[in-house]
Order: sequence, then C-alpha cells, then structure tokens
Amino acid sequence: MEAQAFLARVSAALGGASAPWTPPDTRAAPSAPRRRVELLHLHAEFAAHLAKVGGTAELVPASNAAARAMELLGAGPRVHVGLELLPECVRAVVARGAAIGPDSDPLGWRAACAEAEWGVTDAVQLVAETGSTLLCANARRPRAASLLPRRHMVVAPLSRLVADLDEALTHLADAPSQWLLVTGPSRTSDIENDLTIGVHGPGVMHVLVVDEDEA
Amino acid sequence: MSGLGLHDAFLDRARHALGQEHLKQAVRRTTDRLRDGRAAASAEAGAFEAWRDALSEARRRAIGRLDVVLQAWQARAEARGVLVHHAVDAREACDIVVGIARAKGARLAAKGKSMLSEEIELNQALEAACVEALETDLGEWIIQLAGERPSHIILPVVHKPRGEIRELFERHGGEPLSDETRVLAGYARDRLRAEFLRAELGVTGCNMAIAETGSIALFSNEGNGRMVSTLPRTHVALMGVERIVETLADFAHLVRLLPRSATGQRVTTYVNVLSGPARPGELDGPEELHVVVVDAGRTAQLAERDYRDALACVRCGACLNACPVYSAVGGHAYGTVYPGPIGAVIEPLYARDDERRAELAEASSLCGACHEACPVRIPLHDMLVRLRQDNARRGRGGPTALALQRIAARAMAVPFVYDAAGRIARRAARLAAGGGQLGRWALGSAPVLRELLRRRALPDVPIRSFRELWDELEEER
Repeated sequence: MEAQAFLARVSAALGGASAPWTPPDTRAAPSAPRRRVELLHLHAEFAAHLAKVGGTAELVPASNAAARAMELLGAGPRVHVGLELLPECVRAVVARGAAIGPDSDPLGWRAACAEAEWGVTDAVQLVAETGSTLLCANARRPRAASLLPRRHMVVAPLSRLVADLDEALTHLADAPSQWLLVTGPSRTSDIENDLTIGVHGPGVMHVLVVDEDEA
Repeated sequence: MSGLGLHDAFLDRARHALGQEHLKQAVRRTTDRLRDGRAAASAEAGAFEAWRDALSEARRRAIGRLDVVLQAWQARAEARGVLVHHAVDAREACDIVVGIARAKGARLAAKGKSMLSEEIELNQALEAACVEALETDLGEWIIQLAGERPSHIILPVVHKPRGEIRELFERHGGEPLSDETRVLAGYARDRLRAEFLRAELGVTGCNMAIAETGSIALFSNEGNGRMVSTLPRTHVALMGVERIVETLADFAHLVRLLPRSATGQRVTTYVNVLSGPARPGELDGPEELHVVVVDAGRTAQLAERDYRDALACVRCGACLNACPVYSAVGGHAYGTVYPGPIGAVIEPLYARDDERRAELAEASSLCGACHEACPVRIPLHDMLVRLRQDNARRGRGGPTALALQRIAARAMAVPFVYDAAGRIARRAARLAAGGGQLGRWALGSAPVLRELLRRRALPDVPIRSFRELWDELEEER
C-alpha cells in the first residue's frame, strides 16, 4: 500500500491526524572531562558487569599495553579495524602479523574475518552501567571484525568510559549506519535452558582498557 | 463446539498438554527460571519501577500519535537510504518480501528470529516462491527441522528435550552426536555458518524503531541476527506498525527493561541498531536495507480505545512466565502465534470475527500476575475481562450461559434474593457432597451445570457464608 494511504489509516484509527512531530533537542551540554579517579571507579563497575556475563576486562598501563596485547593475540590469524583509532601504544602490535585491515576487498575481508582467531576493534564508549562496549560502523570500522572471528578483543583508552546508557546514547544522534552494544560473548539457552557460550558470534570477549595517564 | 458457544479447542489442547509429563516439567522449569531472573534483576535495579513508568509513558506517547511518529521515522530512514514498504495484511507483507527475493534472484533467505514472520507465515510464502527460508536462531532452527511452531516467544523450543534435538540433528547431518549442549550448539554453529555466507537475503524482525534517527533495533544473544543483517547483500526487516519509540532517550529505557523482563539479563549480548544500508566506502553490511511496516490488524486495535494500551507491548514474554495457565499448559495449547496472556488479548483483537481465537479470553485465572510482570504495565487482566464481556455481547456465551448470567446479575443486586439464593445453593451443594457419587452425578448431570463445569471446577462450598459469619461475630461482641 502507498505510504500516504497507509498513514491515513493510522490517523483514522487515532480519531484524526495528530499534531506535527517535533524532534527532541539533542544538543548535549558540553561536559567537563572526568577526573582519573572517577574513570577508575567507572572501570571497576564496567569490569564487574562484563564479568557477570562471561566477558573480561583489564586495565593496563600504556607502557605495558603492547606487551599484554601481544601476549593475548598470540600468533594466530587475526583482523583489526580502526587501527588509527586505537591508543598509539598498541597500534604497532595490532598491525603486526597476519592481520588484514579494512583496506582489503569485500570478499577477502569477509574470508579473513571468518578464518581469524582474533578480531580486534576499538570502542566508541565503554558503558559502566551494563559492562557494554559501544561499536560504530563506518568506512574505517567494518562490522565483521567483531562478528566472525572466534574471539573479539576491544582496545580502548580509559577516557572512553561513560556512566550509563543515557550518556552513551546522546552521542548517537547523528546515526552511523550501524551502532552496536556488545556485552560479553555470544550465548544461548535454547536447549533445555542450559547456557552455552559462543554460538554464532565470538565465544571470547576481552576488553583491554588502556590507562594512558599512568605515570 | 460446546453448548457454551465457544470453541473447545483450547480445552482439548490444554488437556493434551497436561498429559505430557516432560512438557509440563520443561515449561514449568523455564518459566520459573525466567521469572526468578526477572525478579532478581528488578530487585537489583533500584530504579526498576521508575524505568517501568518511563517506558510505559514513552510507548503510549508514541502510539498516541503513531501517524506523525511513523512519518518522522520514515523521512529519516529514507534520507539514510532505507527502502520503506507498507503492508496492510499478512498477504501483502509476504508478497513484498517475495518480490524483493525475486528481484535479487535469491535462492536462500537466512532468517533471524521474528514473531511477525511467524504471524504472516513468511516461510511458507518464500518456499512457495522457490526461495529456501532458513531459520538461524538455534531454537527456531530446531523448530524448523522438527516442522513445529514456537511455544514461547523468547525461548521457542522450551518444550523439546535434548534427546529429540540430538535425533533431529543426527538425521539432518547423518552423523552421530552426543546429548551435550556444547556439542549440539557446536553442530548448529558449524552448519549455519556456511549458510550465512551463502544467503543472498537476510530477513529479521524489528524489536523497535527509533523515530529520532530513522533506525531499527535488533536485540539478540546468539549473534545470528547480526549475521543475517551484516553478511547478505540485501536485508529485509519486518516491523509491526506499532513497534516504535520517539527518541534515543526513550530507547535507553527499552535497552534496560526488555532484557531484564525477558530473561533477567541486564542487557542482551547484542543491541544492534541500523540506520540505513552500508554507506559508500564501508566494506561490509547490506547494500540494500528494506523495512516492511506491517499492519495485520494493529490499526483496528488502535481504534479500539479500550484495548489500545496492548499495542505498547514490547514482546518480552514476562507475562507468559508469570501466568499460572501458561506455566501449566505451555504455548502450543493456545493454538496461536502469540501464547500466554498477551496472546489471549491481542490474538482475538487482530481478528475480531475469529471464533477460534475468541475462546482464549477464557484461558486465564484473572489473577493479574501478567499485569504485575509487564514492563509497560498493560492491564491485561482487565482486557481479558472486557473481551469476555464482548464475547457475551456477541452471543458467544450461548443462550444458557447468558440467561444464567442475567439471573445472577439480578440476584446479586438485591441482598435479600442474594442471601436466599446462597442458602439454597449451599444446601444443595452439601446434599450433593453428602450424597457422594450419586449426589455429584446428579449435580453434574444437570444440563446447565454440566455445561459450566466443562470449563470450571466448582469451588469448595463453605458451611456458612461470610455474611452469616459476620452476623455471628457481631452478636458475640
């Protein structure tokens, strides 16, 4: 049915056309950056909630981040996105090895993701309230890196922590083609209520929170 | 068909369900687990009641001006490249999806879990057009392999024991498997992974649209919803016309309440929000994103003011888990796509003339547990009473029941008559009870009572009425 006719039916069911809709005011008041002690507090909350659903988060000083990332990633095949968006200290490590970046062709990219042991991504925000990471798709951040590999690693600086969902969502009014909250590994309880980890999505989710201010 | 004028299909199916020991235990175990999870999640979250208020208000606000909210959503979605379609009924919705599949030359449609797809019977329509429709949610896939229908809107396969699932998979793959959940889920992962990569078309539902950004949102735990909306070149989302909130701020309340109400999770593993297809330069994501906005009886419900609030439903399934009837008989007994209290309300409203669905309003104890559990506070028990009134008005109760109800209404309005009738009834009941088998047989074979007792058990008859007890107490004082 034509859109106009369809909407006219809805208006008729409501008893007449409604007054025009006005979008909300989305200009968020500029907020001062959080103090480090506050961010550390939020990280503790974030890590605790993520742990409850089988994900893991660890806070590493920038000086140690590269070594830790290398230790975790091992030598297996991996893909990464948004390399230039990651904390500088880990870029070299993430880019090393058999990693394939988003410069590949679409089919090659997809195949590489499907083969990868690890998919490494950044996160736009880390949400303390739920232990969620917020990922946004764009030309530098294709989607499959957090979906097809067996394990998913998020690397983000401590400053990306926000308190709650309301705060996280205020940054999304400009609507990227996809935004995604990822909270822990893929799971199902469909078979006799028995929880299983890693059904279709990655079975491991690890968040490396880099403390760039640590002296 | 009974003398009461209502179909007895529910009664028959419920009796059948009650005879299946595994089913009874499985449904009970699941509803208990989900209900406990919800209770724990609501106790843990200090602001739970405030969130319920906020989400209730947001959903009612959007539905109260649904025309302009939909219009605003569509304008923004189209500006981001979404192709929006409108379908008045199930048939038109299926035709649209089949049309897209044909235009794309699709042979395989990989599907995320969607109750709306069940409602419009999309799989059958696709298969008829020679497009394979493959369910990829683990539970839905099992249901599809077994040729059944979901029995719970969140956990479609609660009724099936693992042994049967193993047998299904063994028949499917031709190789022996074990009963272990890990093994069974692993088999599904391996088999379906290849299909995700092969499918030309991805089909999903839409948990909620967001007008402010022209987006659609998909909540999932397994990740199959992400697969089918990321890998195939074309993604089609089916959206019920009422599934929309106005702002991202409203949506935040849904993110908090839908998972907590459904499974007790703080948030689902994935909350996937799409605003248009992949943009230029993006390496993956669908080239085309179609959203089919489906009415299928919903605007008719919108016009019925008494029932409009039921459109606020977010399909969490909390009312199913809270319902003593659902917990006892499971979803298949309802014989409809949506079971439980919400099903008993919306199924008759979607098709007012369907005699088969009208009966479902009787499938409730009217205890109100559904209302207590509902994250958007839909007064489901009130609606069930109203639907029963509608049934009576339409003569669905049959002449006997209607006459009885009229007499009862008169009697209850006059204290003297009410007292006298009560005394007679109590004496008759005592007589019947005292008379043992014979008395009960006599009582049960009175044609009018026999009709009523088909659907209801007689309560225990007290020796003295409350009013008589009260009088005695007054005298003692």
